[in-house]
Amino acid sequence: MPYEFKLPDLGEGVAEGEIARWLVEVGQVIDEDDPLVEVQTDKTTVEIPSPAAGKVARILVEEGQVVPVGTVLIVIGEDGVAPGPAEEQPRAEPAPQQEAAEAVAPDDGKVRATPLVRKIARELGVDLASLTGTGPQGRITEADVRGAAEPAPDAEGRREPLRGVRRLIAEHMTRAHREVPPVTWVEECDFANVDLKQLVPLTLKAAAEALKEFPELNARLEGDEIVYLDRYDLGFAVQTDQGLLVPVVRDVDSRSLEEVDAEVRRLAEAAREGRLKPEELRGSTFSVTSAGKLAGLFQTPIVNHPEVGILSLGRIAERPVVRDGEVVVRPIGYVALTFDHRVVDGARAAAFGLAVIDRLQNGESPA
Amino acid sequence: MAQVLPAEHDVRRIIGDGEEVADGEVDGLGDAALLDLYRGMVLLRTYDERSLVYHRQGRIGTYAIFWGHEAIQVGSALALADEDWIFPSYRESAIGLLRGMPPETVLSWWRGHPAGWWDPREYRVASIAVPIATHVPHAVGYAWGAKLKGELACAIAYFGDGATSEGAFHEGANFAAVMRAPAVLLCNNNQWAISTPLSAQTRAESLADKAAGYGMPGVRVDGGDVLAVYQATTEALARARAGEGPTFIEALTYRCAPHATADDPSVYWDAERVDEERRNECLGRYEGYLRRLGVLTDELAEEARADALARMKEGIAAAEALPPPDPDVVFAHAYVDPPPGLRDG
Amino acid sequence: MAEKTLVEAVNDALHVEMEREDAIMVLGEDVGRAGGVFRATAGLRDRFGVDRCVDTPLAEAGILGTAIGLAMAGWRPVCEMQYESFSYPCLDQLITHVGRYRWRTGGAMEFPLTIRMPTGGGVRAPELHEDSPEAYYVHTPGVKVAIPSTPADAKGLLAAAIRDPDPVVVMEPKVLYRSPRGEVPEGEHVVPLGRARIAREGADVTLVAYGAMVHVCLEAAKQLEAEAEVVDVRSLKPLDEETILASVGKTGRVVVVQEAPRVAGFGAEIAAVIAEKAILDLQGPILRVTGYDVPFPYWSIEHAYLPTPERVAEAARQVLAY
Repeated sequence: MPYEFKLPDLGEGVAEGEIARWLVEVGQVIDEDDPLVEVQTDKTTVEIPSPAAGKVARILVEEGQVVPVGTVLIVIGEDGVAPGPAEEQPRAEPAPQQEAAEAVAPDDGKVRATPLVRKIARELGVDLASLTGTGPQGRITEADVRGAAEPAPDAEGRREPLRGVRRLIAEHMTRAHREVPPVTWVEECDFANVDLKQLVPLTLKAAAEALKEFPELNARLEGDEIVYLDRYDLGFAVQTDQGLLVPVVRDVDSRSLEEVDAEVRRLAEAAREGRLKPEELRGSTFSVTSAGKLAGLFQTPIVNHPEVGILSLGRIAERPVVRDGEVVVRPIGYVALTFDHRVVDGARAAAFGLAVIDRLQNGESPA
Repeated sequence: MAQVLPAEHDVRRIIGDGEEVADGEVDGLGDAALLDLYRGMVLLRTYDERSLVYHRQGRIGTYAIFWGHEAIQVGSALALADEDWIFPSYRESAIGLLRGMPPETVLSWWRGHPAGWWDPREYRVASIAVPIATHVPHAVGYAWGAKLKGELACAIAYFGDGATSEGAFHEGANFAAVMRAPAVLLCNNNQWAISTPLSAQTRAESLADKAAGYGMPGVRVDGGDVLAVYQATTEALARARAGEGPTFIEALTYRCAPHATADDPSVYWDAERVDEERRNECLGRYEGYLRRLGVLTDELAEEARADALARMKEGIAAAEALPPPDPDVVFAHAYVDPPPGLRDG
Repeated sequence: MAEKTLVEAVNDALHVEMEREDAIMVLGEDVGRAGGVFRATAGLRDRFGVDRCVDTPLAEAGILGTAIGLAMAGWRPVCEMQYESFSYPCLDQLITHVGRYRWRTGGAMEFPLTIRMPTGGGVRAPELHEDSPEAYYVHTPGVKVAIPSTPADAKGLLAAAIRDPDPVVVMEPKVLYRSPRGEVPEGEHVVPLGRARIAREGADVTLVAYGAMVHVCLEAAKQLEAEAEVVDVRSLKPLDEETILASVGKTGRVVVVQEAPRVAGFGAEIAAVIAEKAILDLQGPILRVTGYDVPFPYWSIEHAYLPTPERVAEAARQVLAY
């Protein structure tokens, strides 16, 4: 049987070796212990004597090649006498002590439930002792507990618990809706002078500038105090697979348009990939939402509590309008502003809205 | 109380150099015994040389070479009585061969196979001690324990120059002297502890001087002279059996091979010195002595070599033919009476 | 039955065992002529001779190292380490050889040696006389560990350790050496390793401890309105999991108490076993009351370090509140 000689492990931790020099040739008949090959490791060069006798049938690795330990280097022919049996042997794993899992719950009246399940049972007011567990060994599972807590057995429809982002949105919207008396003001805006590729950053900049003139829209109601904020951290809505998220761009007033643009892109991407950090979702003083083609003519956005105002952009489209007595076609979008009527009056809200529209229409290159 | 003999600073030699220095002789060693020593050295030399080849072929793992130490190991081991116990370090991994241990067993040890776990009682050879010097107290305890039982058995512990720096050596030597244990502490001073030369290991002029600190005699012999080693060991054993306690033997030699197969000594040793020592190595010296005496012929030499080689071939074949170990062996021998849950993990 | 202190019970065990078997010998510092600094080996030298009760040089590694050789020569050595902290130098021989030698001989040889030492704090002693190093011993494969909390168990566990064919470390709480006294059976008395003891029965919360902490737990139990069950582990390895788990199954609440520093102490092992095997029984978390992860302090403030009945009771109340 032909003997395959593999590169041995020549030292502690040596993982590979370079075939420095072959000391035999194909076809050469060699004896056991004849010098076979010189191998170089990172520690030293070693001459390896042949473990087998016979005719060299094949040399598989060239001089200069570096190969991992265990690589077959050379085959010593049909009459090659191999030392010992093949090294690869099936290895038996030590059989771990296995306790036979009981198929049936032992009948000792003990409640079998993990601490988590017990906690859920407590919260839902379910008596564990009254349940039969459907888990292994008669364990009571979470499903068993929730099943016992559910109302009428004829409850219909596919059910999905409120979890994660969805749950947070639900809580947030409920609160906003409950607390804030909203009024929505809508006005048209000509977007001819607006680079639509920078729609959101331009809108953020315009809003931040306008908020400086209308501080009551950059405020919040705390107890019986109106708190006027002197920073301009604006949120902008991003629709993601998990739901609507509102990441925050800090200091919109002092940043350049380019900076705001870059930040908007970064946050939007992070939001869609679920990588936003908690601090990137907190602390906005005013919010903007722009749903693009899905925005409808206009919306009545919900104030992003605890803010007092939110601005939304309706779908921008070519529309006929009258200018100087003539019907012309312009890119028109409706700008909607919902405000908290506890803190902001209609006239002021309108003036603010017009200030934003003014800036957008005039295409003022923001600082 | 017996007088503590002063350390012999002049290294004891018996084998001459075949020119100016005359050959001596050891009392009571006839031709047959002289040839036994020779054959023992050839067996160990062959074991070591073949092991290096097997390592390069990937058939044994990392290996501690003992080339050049055969005189120390054979000279001392053959001075022992059958009931005396040997406590080897890894340098004396194959010393059991001198007591009939099959090469397959020692090869298995270096192959990491449990067939290398011999029963010490079978050969009166303790398991190979890997950590440095910690087996010296074992040898001492054994000798002391035998004495307490009224037995005549002695124990010999082998360790290197580096080992004499370890606390365990100190504690073992001290116990040996205090308990007057019938022990022989044989220090293989090959002047290197991996890359640390003797000069960095101690400020003592000779390691044998350390013995005085324990109140035991220290003897210095030429570790390349198998007859000197034999003689010193015989004397030490006689003292021990006479109730006079332990002896420290410093066998002075020079390590002219790497510490182990994973060591590259070219970065630290003196190549010229190594070459010089190699030319003057212990087996060759003894061969010269035996030829001068007319005891060794070419035929006998060839026979000894062929015999040793055959045993090694047999040994490696047997070791490689062993089935892979049953992993359950991992659990089987840890305790006589194992705690439950031993297989939990 | 006689009433004895714990250290008298240790002495009793040694006398009984050495009388029973000639191969047993005691070695250590000051064990012979002086009978041991705690008098644990009093009378042995006179009765059994200098060769069976040996005053060794001051060398703990040497004591344990030569004990290995003695065992190979057929003796059953009982080594004394004068204080638990003085055993540290012998850890090399313990880890390197004591736990491995049998394994190294392929199971051919036995190493029936015993190492005993006073352990623990509360005795107003200088630094390194009051440690609790049981974790190092338990963590060493091949070695067994027992820690009594009563005089009767001190005698019985030591006897079991001496008779055990494997190496056993017996750690005697020195704060209990001279009090309280307890009933100790006369003659041969063996408490097998691997069996815990219910020191106090109760249905509401389980307190698991060993050594001096058993008494701390018994005190804590008195301070609780709930009924505490106190489990005295006694044998750390082999560990009687069954008794501990049965108690947890009964009460659903458990506090583990150890004098040793918190991190990676033996209490963590007990907690892991309970968490793994009794998770369904637990009403609340497994709490540990331990020494702190600092060196054992000078004795004028050792009371601030050692677990007290108050700390244990507080932990029990915490887990009862779940």
